[in-house]
Formats: sequence, structure tokens, C-alpha cells
Amino acid sequence: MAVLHVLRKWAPNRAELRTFGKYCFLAAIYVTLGVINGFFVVAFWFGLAFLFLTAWVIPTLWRRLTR
Amino acid sequence: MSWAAHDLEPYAFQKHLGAKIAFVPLLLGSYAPDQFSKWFVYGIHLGPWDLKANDPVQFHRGWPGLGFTHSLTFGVLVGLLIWGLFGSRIWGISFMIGHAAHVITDAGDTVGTMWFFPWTHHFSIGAWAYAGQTGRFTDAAAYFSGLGGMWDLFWILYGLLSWRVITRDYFNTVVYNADAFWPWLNKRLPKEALLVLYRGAFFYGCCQWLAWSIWAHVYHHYPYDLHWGGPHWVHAAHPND
Repeated sequence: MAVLHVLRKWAPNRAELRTFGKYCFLAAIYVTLGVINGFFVVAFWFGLAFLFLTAWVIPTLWRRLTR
Repeated sequence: MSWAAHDLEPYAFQKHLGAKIAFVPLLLGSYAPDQFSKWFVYGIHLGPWDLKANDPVQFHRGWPGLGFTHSLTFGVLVGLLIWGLFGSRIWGISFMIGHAAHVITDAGDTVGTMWFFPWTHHFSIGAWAYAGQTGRFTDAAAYFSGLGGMWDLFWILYGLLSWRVITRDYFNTVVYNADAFWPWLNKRLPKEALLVLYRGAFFYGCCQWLAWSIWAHVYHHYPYDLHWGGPHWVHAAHPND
């Protein structure tokens, strides 16, 4: 019972899982780019720029355009 | 040489030290030792010029060379400089912690690091082969075939088990309030964007590990060799080579 209680406290809720899923999707794209061309994954700044663009800039622009 | 560990270790420190540290200088410290040297270790092409260190191991980790950047004394010195110049104790100490994590982690390979420079003794446990002298791609293949790649995997799993450290709640209540940098940046960008930036190194570290592992073992079929000091199919450099 104690283990279940700890697990329940540790486990993410539905909204958190949705966020995790979104990042997994973006990671799948970035990893694919990295496998095709290693230079996509040689610098942290490439990764940060990719994430910033796909997780914030594009969704924000999309929301503004479709509002 | 370590790869994704330098991206992921700062989140473990963040989890355990909470508001006592600032994340940005912690990450900068973790990246600092390789910032000025790694490109020259692997070499780059600039038009007609090929720029590469004659002795990459000596240049990266030795003296004479830039090996002093991989010493605890250098991290303390730069941390004190940050503290003195910017008047921020938390930035200075966070930089020192991130930098020390890099120096100690790199002691895991066969070349090791000069912890107490100007004492030029290399501290090394030799768990994985240092292969920076072979170029970026062979180095990646070797690293992700040996215990170095497993060390990175440990930090990925540790980060995933400690997932609350990268949640919005944690960022808003701990990370944002611990360091004046975030409110300053918040004047230019919304909090949603800051949260994405905060998660950046974790995302990059996990992706880097996955991409290079797939590249080395699915695309190219380099063999795994998890023996101490391996993989043994690559020439492992040592401090006095």
C-alpha cells in the first residue's frame, strides 16, 4: 500500500502527460534530423533553437493567426 | 570526454539544491570547459583552411594546452570573478558547481582532468576510452558504445524519475524566484517561452543521446563494448601518449 501511495504521488497527471507527449513528438523530429545529419546534434544552441522554435514560436504564431 | 552528461547533470543539482542555486550559471559552468577547445580538438574547415590541434589530447586536457579549463581551480577562479564583477554570490557559486561537475565527470575517461592545476597530475578512473583525437564521428561512435554512453543514460533516467524538476510549477516557484535573470528576461519574453528555454538542455541531452546511439548502432553497426576502459576497438588516448 505504501508503494502504491508513493507511486500515485510520483505519477504525472493527464495534463502533464500531454506536455510530455508533445515534447516526445518534437524529440522524435529532432532525433530523426540528428541521425540523418549529425551536425544537427553537435551543438546545444542548435537544440535550444529547434525547441524554442517548435515548442513556442510556431505554436504562438499559429494561435495568433487562427484566432 | 563526456557528451549528454554535461546537459543533464545540472538538473540533478537543481533538484537537490533548489532555490540555493541559479540554473543559468550552473549550466554555463557545466558547458564552460569545452566551449573554447572542443571545436579545435575535432577540427573545422574554414574555406581553404583546416584548423585542428596537432595534438588534440594535449590541447584539450594537457599543459601546455587548454587543459587548465578542465581544472577545479579554474572553475573556482572564474566563479570568484563572476561573484566579484557582477556582485552575485549565487551566480558565482552556481558556476563553480556546474564547472566542477564537468571536471569530475570528464575524469571518467582514460585521459582524465588536472583537478588541481597548476599541479599537472591527471585524475582519471579510465571507465571509458577518450577518443577525441579520432575526430567527432569516431569519438561519438566510441563514446556511445562504451560506459560513457551508459553514464549519460544514468542521468537521463535520473532526470526522468525526477521529472517534477522540469514542470511548470517547479519552474515558477523555485527556478524563476531564485535568480533575477529570469524576471529580467520575462520583461522581453513571456513565462511560457522561459519555461521552454529552461527545459532546453534536458531536451537536447536526451535527443543527443538517442540520435548518436541510433546513428552508431542502427545506422552504422558499431559494436557495443561495455568493458572498463572500452570500447577496445578504438585507440584510447592516455595523458602521456
